[in-house]
Amino acid sequence: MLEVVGIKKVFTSGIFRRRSIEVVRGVSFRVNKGQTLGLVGESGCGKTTVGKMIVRLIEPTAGRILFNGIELTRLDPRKLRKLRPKIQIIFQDPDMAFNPRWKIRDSLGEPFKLNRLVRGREIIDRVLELIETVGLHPEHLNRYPFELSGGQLQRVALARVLALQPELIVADEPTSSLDVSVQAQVLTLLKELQRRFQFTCVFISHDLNVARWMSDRIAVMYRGKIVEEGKTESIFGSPCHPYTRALLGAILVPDPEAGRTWRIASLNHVSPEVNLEKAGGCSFQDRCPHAEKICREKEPPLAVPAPDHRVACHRFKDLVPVQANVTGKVCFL
Amino acid sequence: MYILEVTRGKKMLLTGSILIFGFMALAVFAPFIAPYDPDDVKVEERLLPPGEHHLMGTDGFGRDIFSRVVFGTRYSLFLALVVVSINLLLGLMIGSIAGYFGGLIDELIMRIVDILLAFPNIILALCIVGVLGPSVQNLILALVALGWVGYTRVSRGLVLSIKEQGFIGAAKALGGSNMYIIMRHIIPNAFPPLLVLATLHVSHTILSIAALSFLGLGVQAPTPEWGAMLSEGKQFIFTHPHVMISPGLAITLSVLSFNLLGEGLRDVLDPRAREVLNV
Ligand SMILES: Nc1ncnc2c1ncn2[C@@H]1O[C@H](COP(=O)(O)OP(=O)(O)O)[C@@H](O)[C@H]1O
Ligand SMILES: [Mg+2]
Repeated sequence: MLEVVGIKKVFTSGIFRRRSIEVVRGVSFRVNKGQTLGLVGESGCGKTTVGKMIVRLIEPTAGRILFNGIELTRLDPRKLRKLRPKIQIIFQDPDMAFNPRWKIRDSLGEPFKLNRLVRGREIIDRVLELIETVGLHPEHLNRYPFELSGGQLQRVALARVLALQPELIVADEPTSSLDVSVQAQVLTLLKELQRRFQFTCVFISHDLNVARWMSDRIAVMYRGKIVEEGKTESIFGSPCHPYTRALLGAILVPDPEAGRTWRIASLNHVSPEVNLEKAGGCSFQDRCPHAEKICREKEPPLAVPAPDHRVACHRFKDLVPVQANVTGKVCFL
Repeated sequence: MYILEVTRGKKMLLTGSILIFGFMALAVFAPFIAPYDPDDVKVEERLLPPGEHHLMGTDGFGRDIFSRVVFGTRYSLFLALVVVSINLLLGLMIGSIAGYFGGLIDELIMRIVDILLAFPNIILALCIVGVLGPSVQNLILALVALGWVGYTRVSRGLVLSIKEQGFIGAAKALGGSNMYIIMRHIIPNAFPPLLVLATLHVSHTILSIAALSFLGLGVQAPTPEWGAMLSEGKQFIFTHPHVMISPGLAITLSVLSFNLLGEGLRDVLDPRAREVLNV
C-alpha cells in the first residue's frame, strides 16, 4: 500500500556558503493496507522529516515513495493534487495545528471547501457529523483553538483529516504533548477510527510503549536510518539491535515476582550532533557497548535474524539472547 | 512588569484614539467646522492676530488660519494614511512571498531590501521629487519608494515563524495552493503585529510630508497643507509668529496622537510579538 524505498533528505542552508546535513539517510519500509507501522526513535533522528516526505510537504533528495503502486515522487502536479486528499498528516503540537484566527467550524470546513466536495448547507452537516465522530460536542465548533485543550484539539485534527476519507494517515507523535490520561483517550480514539474507516497508518513516536500498543510492525530509526524492523511481537520478543535493546531498557519496569532485577543495557552518551560524514562504519558505534573494529570500518548490511525481521548490526549474533517473560517485559541476560 | 505596561498601554491607547478620532472628525466635517473658506483671500484682513472673529488669526493673504488648519487635516492625515497603507500592503505581499517561498526569490528580494535600507530616507525622497517634479503623486511615490522596505523585512520574519506552524502544513496536505495559503493563512496572521509598526510610521510620515511640503517639494503652496502653511508663514516668523504656531501645533499634536496609539498598541501586544517587531 505504502512503500518507501531508500528515501534521503539533505537540508542545505545558505546560497553562497552552502552547508548541508543529511537528516534522513536512506530509509525503506512498507506498510500493508489497513495496518499500522510504528516509526520509533529518539528526538532528532529524522522521524518527522520522513513523515513530511510521505505526505509531500518536503521533497525527498533521493529515493522513491509508492502509494498503491503510484510513484508520488515523480507525479505531475495535477495528478498529485488528486491524490493529496488520500494522504494526510496529524502533527505533534495541536496548539499550532489550527489557524488561531479561525473558529473550529471554519477549520473543519476547510477540507470540504478546498476540495469542493460539498458546499453551503451540506458543509455544516458534514462538520457536525465529524465533530461527533471524534467524541466532541457541536458547541466546540464555535470556539477558537486557544479555547480548547490539547486533547480536544487533537480530536479536531483527527476530524479534519477524516473529512477527506484518507487511505493513509501519518500520525506524528500525536499524543506526546498531552497528559498521560488524555494520551490514552486520543490513542484509543485513533485505533477505533482506524477500525471503522480502515485507513493505513504510519505512527511516529519516541515512546516504544505507545508504539507497541498502536502498531502491527515497528521500525526503529537511529540518526536517519532504520536499524531494525519487524513485527511488533518480534521486536519486543527478540530485539536484535543494541539500540533497540537500549530503548527497551528504558521502558523496563523491575518485576519482583520474577525474582531478579533486570539488567538494563546502558548507552554511552554522546551528543546527537556528531558529524556523521567523517565517521565511517556503523552510525551507532560511538554509543554502542558492543562496538568492535568492524563496526568502525564497515557499514552494517541489513541482516535477517528471523523471518520477517531485519536488523542492521554486525554483531547481533554475538549478543546474548533476550527472553521475554510472561508479563511481556523483556529481560537482558 | 508586563501587567504594568499593559495598564500604561491602555491609557496611551485611549488618549491616542480620542485625539485621532478628533482629527478624523475635523477632516470629515471640515466644511461644517471651518468658519471661513480656507482659500478666501481678504487683503484688508491680512496678518490679524488671534481674536474673536479669527480664532487663530489670519495669514499674509488674510485667509483664516483656523479654517486652513482644519482643512489641512485632510491633506496631512489622508496623505500619511495612504502612504502608510501602500507601504504596509506592498511590504506584506513581498515579505510574505520572500518568507514563504525562501530560496533564490527570498535571497533576491532581501538583497534589494538591504541595498535600499542603506539609503537615507529623506534624501532619496528629495532626489525623487527633485527629478520628477513636485506633485502629490510624486510625493507619494517618493515616500513609497523606500517605505515598503521596512515592512517587507518585518513581514518576512513573521512569515518565517508562521509557516513552520502545523496549520500551514495541514492546509497544504488538505489541498491548499500556495496562493491560498499565503492569502488565507499567512497574511491574516502576520497583519496584526504589523499594524503597530504602521501606526508608529503614520506619525513619521506626517512629518516627512510636512517637511517636503515645507521645502516646496510636496503639496504646493495655496493648498492648506500644514507643511506648506509653515513655509508660507516663515517670512513672518519674527513679526507675526501666530501664522506659524498654529500649523506647527497641528503637526505636533497629530504626530503625538499616532505615537500614543502605536506605543499603546505595542504595550498591550504580547511580548513575543514585540520581540519579532523589534519595537
Ligand atoms: N527545515 C530544516 N532545515 C534544516 N534542518 C532541519 C529541518 N527540519 C529538520 N531539521 C533537522 O533534522 C533533524 C531531524 O529532525 P526531525 O525529522 O524533526 O526529527 P524527529 O522528528 O525525529 O525529532 C534535526 O536535527 C533537525 O534539526
Ligand atoms: Mg518530530
